[in-house]
Amino acid sequence: MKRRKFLKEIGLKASLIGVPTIIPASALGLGGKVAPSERINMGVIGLGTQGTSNTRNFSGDKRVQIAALCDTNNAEGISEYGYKHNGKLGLRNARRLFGMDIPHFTNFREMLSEMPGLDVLSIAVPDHSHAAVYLEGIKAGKDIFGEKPLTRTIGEGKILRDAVLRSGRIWQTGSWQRSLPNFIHAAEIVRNGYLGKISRIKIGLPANFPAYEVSPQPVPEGFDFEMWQGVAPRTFYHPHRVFTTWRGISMYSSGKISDWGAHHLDIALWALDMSEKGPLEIRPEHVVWPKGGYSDQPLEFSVVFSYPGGLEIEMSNLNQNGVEFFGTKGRKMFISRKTMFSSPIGIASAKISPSKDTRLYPIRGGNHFSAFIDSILDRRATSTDIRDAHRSNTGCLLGEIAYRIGRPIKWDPQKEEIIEDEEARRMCDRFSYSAPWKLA
Amino acid sequence: MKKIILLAFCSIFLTGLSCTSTNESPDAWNGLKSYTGKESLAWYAELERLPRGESFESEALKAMEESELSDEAFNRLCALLKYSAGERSVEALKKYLNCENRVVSACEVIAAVGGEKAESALREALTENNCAQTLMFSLSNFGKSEKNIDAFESIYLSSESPALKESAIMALGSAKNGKKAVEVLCSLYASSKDFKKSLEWAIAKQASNLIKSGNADSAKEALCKLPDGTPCKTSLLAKTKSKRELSEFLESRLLADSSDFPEAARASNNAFNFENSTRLVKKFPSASKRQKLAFISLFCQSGDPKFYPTIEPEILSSDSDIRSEAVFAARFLADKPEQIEKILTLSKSDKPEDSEAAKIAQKVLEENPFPATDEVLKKDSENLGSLQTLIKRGDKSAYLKLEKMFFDNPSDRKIAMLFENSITLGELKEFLKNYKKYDDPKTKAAIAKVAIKTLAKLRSNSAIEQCAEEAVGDSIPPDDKNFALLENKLKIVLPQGKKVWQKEYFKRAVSDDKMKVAKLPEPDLGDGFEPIFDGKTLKGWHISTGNATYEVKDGAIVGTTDPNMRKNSFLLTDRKDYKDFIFTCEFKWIEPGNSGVIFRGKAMDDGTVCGPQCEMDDSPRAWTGGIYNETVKWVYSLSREDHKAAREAVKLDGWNRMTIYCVGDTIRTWINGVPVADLEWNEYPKGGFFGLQIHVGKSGKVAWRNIKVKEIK
Repeated sequence: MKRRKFLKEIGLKASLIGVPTIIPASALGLGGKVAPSERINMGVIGLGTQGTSNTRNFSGDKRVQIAALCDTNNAEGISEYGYKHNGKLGLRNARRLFGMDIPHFTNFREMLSEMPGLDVLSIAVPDHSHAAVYLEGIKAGKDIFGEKPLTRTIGEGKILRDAVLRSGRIWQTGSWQRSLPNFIHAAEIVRNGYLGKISRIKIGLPANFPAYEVSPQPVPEGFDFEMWQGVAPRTFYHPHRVFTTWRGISMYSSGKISDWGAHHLDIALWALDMSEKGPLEIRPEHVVWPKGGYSDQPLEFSVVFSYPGGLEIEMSNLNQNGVEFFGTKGRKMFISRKTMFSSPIGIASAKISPSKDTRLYPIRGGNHFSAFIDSILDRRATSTDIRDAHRSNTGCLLGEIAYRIGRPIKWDPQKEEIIEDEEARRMCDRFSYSAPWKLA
Repeated sequence: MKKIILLAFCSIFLTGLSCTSTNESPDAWNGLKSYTGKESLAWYAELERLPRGESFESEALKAMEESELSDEAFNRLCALLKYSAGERSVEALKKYLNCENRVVSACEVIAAVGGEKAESALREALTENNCAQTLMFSLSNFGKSEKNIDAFESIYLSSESPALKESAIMALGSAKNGKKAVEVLCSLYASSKDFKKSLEWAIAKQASNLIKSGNADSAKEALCKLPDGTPCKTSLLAKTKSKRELSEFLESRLLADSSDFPEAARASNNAFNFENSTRLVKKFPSASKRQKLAFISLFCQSGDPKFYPTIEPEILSSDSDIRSEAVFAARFLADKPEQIEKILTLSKSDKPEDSEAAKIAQKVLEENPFPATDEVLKKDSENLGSLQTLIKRGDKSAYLKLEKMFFDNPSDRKIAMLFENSITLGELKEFLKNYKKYDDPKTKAAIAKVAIKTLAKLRSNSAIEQCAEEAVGDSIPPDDKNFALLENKLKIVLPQGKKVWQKEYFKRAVSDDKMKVAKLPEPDLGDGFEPIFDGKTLKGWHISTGNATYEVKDGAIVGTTDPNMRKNSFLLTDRKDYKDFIFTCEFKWIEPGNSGVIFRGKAMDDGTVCGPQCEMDDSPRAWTGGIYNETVKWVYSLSREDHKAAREAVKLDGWNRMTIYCVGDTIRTWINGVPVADLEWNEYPKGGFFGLQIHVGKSGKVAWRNIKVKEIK
């Protein structure tokens, strides 16, 4: 009985069985050197901050060949960036980093049609285009490494999840905290009841970008603004709207709540195995809006989610960045990227016993990126199941809807619908896209 | 051209008019009307905060009607109108459905409203133009009517633009009426030569919807029309089958070495029925490489150890892939000691060809959940590697064994390093308690090193400090050189010994410059003193508040606290006019607890006693003899560095003598003849009673005797 449960927990949710379709040459005794013809061909879409960093990680893996690069920004010398940039972004910079001879595109549709030999796509585009780009990739039959947050709206998330599950392609979300040993350990400690019954979780997120006044500017030459805007309504250009600080605009992103919520809320739900069971109610506790400027995300927010069994999750940018679990008898544990400690101290470093406790980690270890390549090779499920990614993203987006609408909303986790609130329901979906964008 | 100018003129005029009729945020609505994409967006932020509903809808529609909005302004207004729109908006927005720059926003609003009226509005607008793609996408996204499907089909048939045709297929693929859409798609698929791939995708998409809504049969029918090798075909077909059928389906694919097996296997999603798996077991030794890998995965999924003997020979396979898979399978399936022993031998192997398998074997040993693994490892626990694996598995006795090995031979780096890697923070606290047991400086240094390495793993400074404080406690004395080493290496500052207590009370202490150090000798206690306690009865005394009990025993007053008491209790003298005096008594603790002597005391209306108190403090901070203004604050605490002699004057295990000199504004105290407090203070009552305090607390039993006073006139 225990063993069955154990097997179920470790990610058989999606699939354990499968056969390697591509045999890495290293496994065939070539001493770690992989012939280019044997490598996994990866196409990269989106080469901003996150896209460049992901590609750097993948290019360190001998089994991967970066076969194509694509970004809307092929301009030289856009110097005024939105937020803490050294000006090194975009296609030209990526070509210098990964090789000038790699085929490059500014339109990802061209890349997909001209290079049918790609096996994998690594996609890091702005949130509003996530669903549409991922779906075109899935439709083209590629395995996908997609950045979090999964989608901009809940409706898109449902469509994407169904398409990925139906296609049987390997999917990995960029929520890499799931591959960090300390987060795995923390989740196992919570799952196995070392803290007792969890009654409350406090999640701390960073604050949204501050607002500046911006005015229209001409689009720089070499930058495909039309493509960048993707499915979103058309508007004027300003560098602050486009480079990194697009997270301040609700048309493109829901802000830090889903940007970082996709990490921390995901860990909390994973630890408690609650992702498909809630939330039942979402309550906005506190929200401060900016006055004017280009950003329409709140400066401060605090949202409380109710989950079954009396569990409450508080998500706010006023808490310390990380996840804090509160258990019975005053036991608590705090975990962030930098540190992990508990009260009393023994809990955080308790040893998880393989014969008695439930384990959560993916079947093969390693970092987030090499684990993805492992999964592609042997067709096993990754640590970031698309269903979990969709549910944690749904939680964050419901939080956003709650603070925008300013009143508590109720959610039916089985039907995935908002209960009795027409206005909130309309916020869950985007009903029309600018042509030629569509949810394939 | 003339018309446009006229319109623009009209709109300016009308804008002026409409301003007067707008009640809320007129500036914002004006901002909307004059917005061309270049101005500030402050108006947008303001409109966004307006209450939504019918009034917002009418304002927005009025603005649209009365003035010529720019495309930019229109699109932004629609983004807000979406949440307030009703059927009126559908009527008003109809005319924009053929306008290329506005159709997306208009569709968004109309689709949000939903219903038959909205659908027919979009259908009517659907002709072969540049807006058709958007309209079809919207319709397929929210529309429920069957008429939509006809509309999509006619667009596909009549249009010549490939982009439009493909969009029509996509719309058919995601339309809500699955049954009809599938019929149409299948007939298109049979008849047309182009767009085969898109049609296949769309049929698969609708089939998946049909399966979800319980129409497995029609889905099956549609799927069978697709050629083999179509993405998703096998996985969707598998979903239409019952559990029993599914197992057979999967087994037949597996035995036939079919290329779509992985897909079928994924679709079976843990539903394989292992009851009749003898055929698979029989086939295994002669299977191809690809089949063998699939078999092993499948057996892993069962979690049933009965399959392990079949797989076991493969852990010595010459093919490294099969070998890795077979070793890996042991993690789930191997439950017999002899099987584990083989894995253990493999994990120790240092042959180059075994290196990959050895790594996996090590992982298997760490994570195999069966007790057989513990058994085998325990037998082999003389080996350090096995011992470490056992500790990783959470075996406490293995940890204790390693700890003993460490203390037996602290200079062995190998054992020390293993121990550093194995110890956890919770165990560190226990471990450090051994520090005082060992005198050998080498052992002491080794213990401190373990503490440093373990704590350093926390990385964050605040976390290290917090955990170090708790783990070190008073195990390592602050004057030890290893204490300083710990602080230096970890770059933290630890509270030193008793200061843990001092620190807690520090905020209550009086600052150093407000207290002078007492130096005057104790006055002569020989002549002129009158006893205020007769040594036999409590005559001349009474109890104020609280439930503490006071009794006379062996010539002393003994007060005992009541654990349920909520308020401090006092035994007071009946006389209430002691003004200038020298007071002396002897006291001792029978059970620990806070206490003190009140002088020049006064009682409030509710019985609460206040006034200066000469403290009797048996806690580690040792402020006995200090002056506490009862119920208010400390006026003379023993927190100065040079109060060391005063703090050490009190004996916790015997009788102590307390002397209080109180004349005018001067208060001085001595404990056992050591000068303690010297205070000039004028904020208290100039006369009152004496009181013996019994403090609230879990315990506390205090005795006083030889209580005498000499009044100074």
